[in-house]
Amino acid sequence: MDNRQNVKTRKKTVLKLFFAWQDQEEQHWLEQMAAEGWLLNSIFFLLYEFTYGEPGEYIYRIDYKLTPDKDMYEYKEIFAQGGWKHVCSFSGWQYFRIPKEEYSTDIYTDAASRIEVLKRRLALAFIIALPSFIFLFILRPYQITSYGSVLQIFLGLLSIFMLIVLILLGVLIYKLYQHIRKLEKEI
Amino acid sequence: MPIKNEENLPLSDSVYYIMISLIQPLHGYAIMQHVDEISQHEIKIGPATLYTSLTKLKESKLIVERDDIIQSDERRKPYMLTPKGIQVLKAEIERRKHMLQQGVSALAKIGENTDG
Repeated sequence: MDNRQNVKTRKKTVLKLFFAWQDQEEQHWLEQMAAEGWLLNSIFFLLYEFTYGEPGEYIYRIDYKLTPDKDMYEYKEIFAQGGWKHVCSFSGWQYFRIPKEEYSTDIYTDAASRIEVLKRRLALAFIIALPSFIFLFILRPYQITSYGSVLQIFLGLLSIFMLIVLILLGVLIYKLYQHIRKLEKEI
Repeated sequence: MPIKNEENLPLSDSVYYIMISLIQPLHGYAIMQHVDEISQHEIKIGPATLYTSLTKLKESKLIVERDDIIQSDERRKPYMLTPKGIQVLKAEIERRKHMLQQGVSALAKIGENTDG
């Protein structure tokens, strides 16, 4: 973890890695930061920017918005009316916060709507995995002997990168599938 | 009689209440309040559940945004049931009515009534 702290503006940026299936852990970490007085400001990739305020008990929720952002006003307003402050967003992920004493209902109140969102995330994960899969297992086996060495090194590095992407997406797909199965049993 | 060939059925309790609220034009937050009221605080709809349900109902063309209705805040979009939405709601009410009748007549067989 890398901390850069600016005492004057009372801001700090923290580098932290959470995988896409670790939203519970991420929420918990943000709540702990708030308990120490650090309220989330913005997120850029793995960089979390916090502003110092009064330490307090807050609840954080991370939602995944499925649709294009043209209805962002309405989306935020539905949350705002329930007391949820939209803190920031990063590539589709939406971060909300509410003081603990104002919390009455969770952002998801039934299994059917949770399953709906998880299924769409699952479909999205498959779509993102597809190009890597085609490259590694369909195109790549035919290319090994047919190019010069510089290009081979490049393709080799690209293969490693795509393999990592594919493994992470594989884990995500497995976790999403497991979660959907668990929720379907609750209905 | 159960309706089998309707893709949108059965409706979850939340979606059922959202749909019956939308016989009149209502925007997001008003739907939450209305459901809370008519369900006598039994059904709470969280914002993410409401947003997801509205998105899905829109995509299935069971509800539609009524841009023609003027709101105090024009960025607030009121929704309303479509004719297709009304048909699905009717089918769901039939389904629930059937369930209810089965329960009442089952209890009647042992001489119990459901009035308490």
